[in-house]
Parts: sequence; C-alpha cells; structure tokens
Amino acid sequence: MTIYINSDKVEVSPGMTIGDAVKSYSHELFQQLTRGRIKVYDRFGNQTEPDGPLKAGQQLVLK
Amino acid sequence: MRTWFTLLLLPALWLNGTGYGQQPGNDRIEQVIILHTNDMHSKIDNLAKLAYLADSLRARFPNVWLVSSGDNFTGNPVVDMIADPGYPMIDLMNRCGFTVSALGNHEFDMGQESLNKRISQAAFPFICCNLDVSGATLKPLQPRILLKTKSGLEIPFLGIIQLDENGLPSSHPSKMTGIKFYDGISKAAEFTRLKDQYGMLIGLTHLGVEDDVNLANAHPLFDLILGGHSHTLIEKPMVENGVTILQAGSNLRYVGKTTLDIRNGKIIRISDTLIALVSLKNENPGIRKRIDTYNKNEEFAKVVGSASRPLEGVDEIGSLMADAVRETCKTDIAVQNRGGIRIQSISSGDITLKDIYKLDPFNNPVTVFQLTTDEIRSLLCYGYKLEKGIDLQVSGMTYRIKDNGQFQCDSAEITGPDGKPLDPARKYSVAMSNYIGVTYKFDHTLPGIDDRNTTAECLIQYLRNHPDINYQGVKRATVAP
Repeated sequence: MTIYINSDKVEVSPGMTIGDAVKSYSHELFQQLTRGRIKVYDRFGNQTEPDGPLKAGQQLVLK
Repeated sequence: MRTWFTLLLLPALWLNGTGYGQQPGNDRIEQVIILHTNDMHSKIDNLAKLAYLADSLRARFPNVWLVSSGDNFTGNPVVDMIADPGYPMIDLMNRCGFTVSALGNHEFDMGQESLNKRISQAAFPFICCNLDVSGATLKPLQPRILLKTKSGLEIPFLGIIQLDENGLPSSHPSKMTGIKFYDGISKAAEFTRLKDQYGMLIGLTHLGVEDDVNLANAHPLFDLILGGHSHTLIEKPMVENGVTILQAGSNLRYVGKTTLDIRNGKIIRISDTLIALVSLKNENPGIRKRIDTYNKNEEFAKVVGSASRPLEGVDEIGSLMADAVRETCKTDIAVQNRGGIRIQSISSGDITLKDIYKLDPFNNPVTVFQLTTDEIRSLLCYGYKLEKGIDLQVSGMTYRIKDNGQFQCDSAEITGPDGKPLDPARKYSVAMSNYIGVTYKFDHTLPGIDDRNTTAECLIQYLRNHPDINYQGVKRATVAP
C-alpha cells in the first residue's frame, strides 16, 4: 500500500510499523527518529509513535 | 389528581432538556473524570503508577472511570508467551479497577478460546458493536455499556473496532474464523439513538485517528471519541465537526485525564490532560509487587543458545531465522520477511527465551509451499517491490535482484547451495511464516500447508542444536549494481 512521508510516496507492506516505513524511506532519518532528534506527526499535527500501524493513504511528517 | 400531576411533570421534564430516561435536571454541574488509555500492548510496568493515580482521584472525586480503547495484549513475552496468554494483563487491569475496554485487533492474536478466557477473567466488560460472533468460538460481546454516575446519570459508551482493506481487523485471519465484521462507522448509525435516549454518547474506539475523524464527520451526535490503534499522542484535544477526539499514545507511557462537566444531563464541557506516567513518583505497592513477580518469570531467563559473535542487521539475523525454519521443518528453502525481524542486533554470549520472543513476538506458525523457481522468483520480487529493496532473507539458496530503476524487480538470479541455478523443472519445498503465506501476493498453484511449529519454536530448537552461532558477514540477498 502507499503512504506519504514528507509528501513523498512510500510503498509499504502489511504489518509494517510507522518506524519501519521511515526506515525504508530514509535510514538517516530513521536513525534521527530513534535518537529522538526528530518526531513523526500525522496530517492533523499530532505526534504519532513509531510503533504505530500504517493505513493506506496515511500522511506523515518528520520534523 | 395523579393525571394532573403527570401532566404538570411532563412539561417540566421537557423544558429542562434532559430527554426521556434521564434524571430531572437542575443547574448543578456534575463532573466525571475518565482516565483513558489505549494500545497498552501488555506493557505492565506502569500499571502500578496508573493504579495509584486512579485511586488518588477516586478518593477525591465521586465519578472516576478507567477505560481502555483496546489492544491490551501483544508486546511483552511475560504476558503473551506464557501457558495462559494474557492472564497477567487482565489480572493487573482488574486490580487497577478498569471500568470498560474496547476490543482491539490485537485482542485476537491469542485466538478466540484464549480471548474468551480473558474476557471471563476480566472484572470489566469488553465492548464492540461491529461484529457478529454467532458462527464463531468467541462469546457474544455487548456493543455498548452504560456507565452510571453517583447521581444516577447514565452515559453510554459504544465500542467500535477497525478493519483493514480485507474487511478484518489487523490480526492473523485464522484467529478470527467464523466472525463477521461490519464497517464500524456505518454500524455506529444504529446506535446514535443512544444520544436521544441518554442525552450523551461516547465512542470507545479502536479505529485509528483518521477513522475517528471520519466517525465524527459521519455522526456528530458523539460528544467524545476516546480512540486507539494509531498510537497517536493527541496533546491538544482535536475537535472535528463538534466532536472531541482524544488518544493517549501507546504502551502505557501516557494516560489521558478527561473531565466531563455535565449539566442537565448534557455534557457542556470536556477538558483533557495527558499525563506522562514515567513522571509520576508514587505507585501502588501491592500492584508493583505483583508486576515484579510476573517480570521475574524464570522461564524467560532460560538460556536456549549462544552467539560467538554479535549478529547485526537484517541480513545476519534474518539468515539465522530462515536457517532455523528450514532445518526444523526439513524443507529445501526458507524465507524470513524484514517486517518480522523485530530487533536490530543480538549480542554475543547467551541467548535467552526472552531474547527470542523480543525478536519474534508473533507466535506465527510456519507454512510450507511447493514452489517452482518462477514462483519463488515472484515471491522474492513481491517482497522487493514492497520494501523498495531487499525484503526476504533466505536459507538454502541465495539470490541477486536486478532493479529496473524504479525499485521493481527486473529479474532475480537464484542459486542453490551448490552455487548453481535452481532447477526450473522441479518444485522446491519453501517454508515461511504463515503471515507471509497469507498476506504476500505471489504465484503458487497449491495452497501452503501449516507446520506444527511456530517460527519462534524453530529458532529455539535450532539454537539448542547449534551452540555458539556465528553469522558475521552472512549476506545471501543482494541487488545487482
């Protein structure tokens, strides 16, 4: 299924978490995420935890 | 005389706006405090703090309810991987005084029989409106519960569970045999009459924040939606179409403290604060002692194997997992998907049962397919397309993908243990987690057959048979430059 990270299309497989999707998008950003330097936010501006599930069409922002 | 009195009373009830079935109103505000959590995933360590917080509020306020929006299980081997899975979590939730829980998708992970046991064990109900269990092992659940305040006001909570695109909650399909699920947002329409009846309506949902927003837009009669599933930390309450939406992250790092101000049988104000449980100092000592007992389960400290060198990354760890499945299930080939490798490294030295369950917490059985070389290729390429890179680690073969420049598999060269290409004329037995077997789209003419072992059991057996494993530098899946 397709989700969006920082407006970029990312293909993900069932069972992957938000963290898995970030890792497949950018290893560097994933490392920053795991070190707490950046966080993941949903399209409403809510922080979302990296172990959360993914939904088709989901829009995530890393900052 | 009686008829005259009734005639006078009816207009009085109408004028104060409580509606049928609720108490006659007055201008006094009644407060209800709801401590809401979601997606605790068997993380029991903060339950002693939660209990202390709940008890301290109960000592000061008359109406304090402790609720969960589902996914109470799956995420901690001391809860999930014992003979009676989930027992510790419900035991501790009972001791905390939970009032109600929604059903989450991970409630199904332990299977319907175990879930029945947990629901019977619980001193609180599980609620869910969008399923039909008449053909299933799971016992019927109430779609909603009425929680009563000290003054006698009744507030309905409606439970709703999420569905994936396949029409099932996110759990292994075999765990939900016989259960019919309905779209939760559509099904909720049948229950919005509760708002007319009781003047208030709260959704206790396991939908994810996106669908909580859709629910609010479809049914603005909800006063409040206490959500879960998406592990969203809603720090500032969302208000969508007049409906307040809240969620408290996951893994019991936070709890939300929601205060409802109710006047004349209507919620006039909702406020919410997220409380970081790690910041609380006090905890219930009795519950702490019980948590410690569960954590000290000596079964999980048992050493099952050892590593002479650390294993780092998906190539090394995934190859170990694939080897374990291939050897234990006696197949030609085995594959392990990247999503099923839940830790990044294994230290050198002893490997315990707890380490195994951290690596592989899913309890998925192995499925064996008979596949031709082309069918194996379709499986490898499906994984490559999903991951936009190597997904499947392998045993009994190696492979090299040629990318077409768009993260798609142009071709895949597959070689056997002798270094020669696999024989295109024969079928190979290929073992995999049955999660891959069910969810990956690849060519196969015959269905897979479930082995009696789970992938974790294969790993335990393999480590017992192979002391001092060394996977340093193992790399069996590559992409051509």
